[in-house]
Amino acid sequence: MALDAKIPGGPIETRWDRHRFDLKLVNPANKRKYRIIVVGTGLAGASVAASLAELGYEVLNFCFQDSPRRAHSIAAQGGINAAKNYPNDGDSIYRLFYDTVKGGDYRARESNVYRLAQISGNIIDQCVAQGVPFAREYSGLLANRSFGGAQVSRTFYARGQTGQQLLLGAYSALSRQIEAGKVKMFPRREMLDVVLADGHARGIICRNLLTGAYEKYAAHAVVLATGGYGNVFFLSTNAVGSNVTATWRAHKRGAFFANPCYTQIHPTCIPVHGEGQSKLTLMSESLRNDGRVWVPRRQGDTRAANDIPEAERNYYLEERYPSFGNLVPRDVASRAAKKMCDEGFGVGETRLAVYLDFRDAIKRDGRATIEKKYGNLFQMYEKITGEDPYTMPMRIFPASHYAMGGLWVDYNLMSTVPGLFVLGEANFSDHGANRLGASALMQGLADGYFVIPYTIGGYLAAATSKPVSDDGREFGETMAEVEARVHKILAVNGKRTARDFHKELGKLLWDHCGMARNANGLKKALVRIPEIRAEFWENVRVTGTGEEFNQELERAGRVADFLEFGELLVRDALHREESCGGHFREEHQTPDNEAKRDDEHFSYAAAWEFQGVGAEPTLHKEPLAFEYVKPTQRSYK
Amino acid sequence: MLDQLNENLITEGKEPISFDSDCREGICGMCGAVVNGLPHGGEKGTTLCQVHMRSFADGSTITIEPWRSAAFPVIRDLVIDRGAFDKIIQSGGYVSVSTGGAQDANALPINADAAESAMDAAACIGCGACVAACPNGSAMLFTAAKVSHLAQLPQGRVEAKRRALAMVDRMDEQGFGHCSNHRECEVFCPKEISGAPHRALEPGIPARAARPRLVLEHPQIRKITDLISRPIPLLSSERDISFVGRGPAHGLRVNPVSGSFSSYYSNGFRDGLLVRGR
Ligand SMILES: Cc1cc2nc3c(=O)[nH]c(=O)nc-3n(C[C@H](O)[C@H](O)[C@H](O)COP(=O)(O)OP(=O)(O)OC[C@H]3O[C@@H](n4cnc5c(N)ncnc54)[C@H](O)[C@@H]3O)c2cc1C
Ligand code: SF4
Ligand code: FES
Repeated sequence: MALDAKIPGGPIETRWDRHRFDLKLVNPANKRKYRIIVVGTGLAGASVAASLAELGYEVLNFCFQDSPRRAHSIAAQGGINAAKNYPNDGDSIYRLFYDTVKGGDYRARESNVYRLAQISGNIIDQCVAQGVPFAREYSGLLANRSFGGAQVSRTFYARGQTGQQLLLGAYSALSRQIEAGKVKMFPRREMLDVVLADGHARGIICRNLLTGAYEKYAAHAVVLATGGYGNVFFLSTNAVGSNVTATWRAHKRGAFFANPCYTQIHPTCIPVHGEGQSKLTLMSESLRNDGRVWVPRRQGDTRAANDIPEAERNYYLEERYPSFGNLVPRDVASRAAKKMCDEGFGVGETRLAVYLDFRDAIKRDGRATIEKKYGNLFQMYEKITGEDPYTMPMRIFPASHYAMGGLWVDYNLMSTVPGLFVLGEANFSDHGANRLGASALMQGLADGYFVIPYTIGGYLAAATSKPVSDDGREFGETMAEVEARVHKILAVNGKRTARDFHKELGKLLWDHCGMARNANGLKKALVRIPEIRAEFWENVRVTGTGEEFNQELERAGRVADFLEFGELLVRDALHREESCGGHFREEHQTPDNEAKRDDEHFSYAAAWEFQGVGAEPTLHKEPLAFEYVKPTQRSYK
Repeated sequence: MLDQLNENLITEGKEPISFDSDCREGICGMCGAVVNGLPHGGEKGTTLCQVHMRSFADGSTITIEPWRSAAFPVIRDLVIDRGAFDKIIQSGGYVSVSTGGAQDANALPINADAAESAMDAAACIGCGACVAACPNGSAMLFTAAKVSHLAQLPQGRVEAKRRALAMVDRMDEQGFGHCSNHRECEVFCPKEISGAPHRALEPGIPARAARPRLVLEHPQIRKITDLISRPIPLLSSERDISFVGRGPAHGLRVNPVSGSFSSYYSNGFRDGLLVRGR
């Protein structure tokens, strides 16, 4: 099967306009005849559910938490990008487009990225209209800050709680549609499969997490906005419930999975401490605006940070990358920290940390200013570590954070399964091999507010508007398969907890498929993962039954999917014989340890087709054309 | 901590304890339980997921209970149904704009202080501690936070009155109690949402100036905690200061001479030492 990304022709500036014009429209009076399932209530899910309902479609919306407002988007801290150029510092749609393509290390689709940059301004307008309390200057106008990978200030923020405020904005729009009866909300439901009829996505199977009952829902189209798979590493900055289940099950039903090996490791997290830890906490990257990253010049220096004189501090990012300094993109900053620690310059008890120091910023701007900008982040740091970042530098280390890879989608954000749309972090579309800070929120809302509402119409206009029903044979069969799998997990009755398996998988992937990868390690992981999976199915212990509220069962189901998905992640990493963005193969680096791409052989998106658990998936390539931003060796020097 | 406990329970073949959590960093509002009688454990500005074992003395027994409120039915163990909060927001906790057609974001300058103050209120995470802390089981702090977030911004002012009425009505419908100004909610709110706007919602009760605070130290919690935010009049002898609403005993007995106190919550009696009043 040839991948058709359906990219419109013509100059890039006019593609989205023309495409919108070319898309068939659904007559306003007919919209209510179509029912659309939206899985997920994060920025992508809530914004699309609300927007589709406003247009008149009937929407069913699902999430596994107790309320749509809990989706993981709530945790995003730093901000959201938009090419508004309010500070008049040289930003433009083209520059945001350029920065994103370059930041993604030339592995993203130009047309999608351009559209994202074009829409970015509307997102801010929309959010302000909803009452999102963005930070403001005394003039009353919106404030901006800069973020990694950019030399302009284009990031809008609401203290360190931007994701929360944007999500509550989308949630309020969603709530309004729920009250109006246009969206039916189903919280505490876990989608466990997509139902296909005649090759089209026609519904989903869910488990009602409160009662354990299996439920089927039919619709004219299914939209997945189920977030990323960063938790495959067990320890990550994602919420503990984030998982790959929805996208993985869709993959098993025919949706291609693209670029799973593009995972982002975030440079500024609170370092690991203790065995019992269940997740890592991110400190927003915005901290790198004012904080300076350093390690002692001497290896194994055990002096307290404040006792180390200026001359014996190595501000390695500023030295190595004079023009971007502490604001280099995440992959570059993460690898640099790893390198410092590998070479013995690490600080803190575990020696797996570097300093992020605010001393100079406090001296320059005063404590009050720094407090206003980062107060809640400092407080969070202090709560977790018991140390006061106003008087001593923070210790930070990289951690798994974001998934650039995801289900393959075309320009309409439709997967290879007709009628199955994928948006937000769950798709692979806009960030290439590395995502710039503050761009995920932008993408989730762009997809939800401004892309799908148009493109789904194009699909529906060509499809039937006859009422859909969940009586079909396909619904019965898929539901039986889902139930059988749950029963199988419960029947194992072994000795190890699902969490324990997850931990083992996570550690294996972090060691061999984390910040730096090589063929040897990847091959080892490829042997080990099926073994862990086999043991899981023989030895996992899940207490309770399937007919009740059972959090262990939920967890085990998610871990089972991670154990299958992890293998694809490693395969993709092994096949990509180059380094790009978040994918760093030790065999492929420049003499000064920068990622070395191989554009001749790997300038494509790798879309994998499922062939069975443990079986080699089929690789499909979507060639990437760079008509506007010519690939060069990324340089932040 | 609960993760570890559950791991042990499962390995021993016992049923683990059900509890909700997701972000584990104090922002999603999914977690929450009453620890030793105090919602979220009583540490200032902290959600349950951020309470560290290091804040308890070694060997101490920790009591954990779910939120108790008629409007939040218990699902299992510590897991409760907070759907009533969603219903309150659905009744009007939004600006009624649809996607598309918004004017340029900077066309509407907003006073920076107003934006900051709106943000203070918007920081509510919908956890429900305020309800659990309230002797009346009122959701007034939660409701007022949304009302005040939107009413302070020009975009939200248009519908402010209608919104406030609808939300308070819905709150009543959902089975939450009335606010009688105990202000326990403010003390236990992990986002330190201020109750000032909630007093604005109750026109009968005049807003009061900031009151002196009592800071109490408790041996089991060890951290200085703002347990009580109401004035303690100068006392000459030991006496009860009760903040009983309807419902179970909920109060404090203070000996002003020695400075010792004992507090009684719905689930028992604990002792501590009054450290200072400010
Ligand atoms: C700590 C942290 C900080 C971040 N900070 C920033 C930032 O400053 N700027 C930025 O741009 N990006 C940031 N990001 C990234 C950004 O937050 C996410 O990429 C983005 O919010 C993802 O949104 P989403 O809508 O795609 O998915 P999510 O918000 O993850 O939502 C997923 C939804 O899907 C539902 N779901 C999932 N699986 C199922 C299933 N099987 N059945 C039913 N429902 C399901 C969930 O219930 C949830 O509602 C940050 C990420 C983290 C982890
Ligand atoms: S007002 Fe405070 S305690 Fe109440 S729900 Fe909001 S954050 Fe929680
Ligand atoms: S788990 Fe999210 S606030 Fe505690």
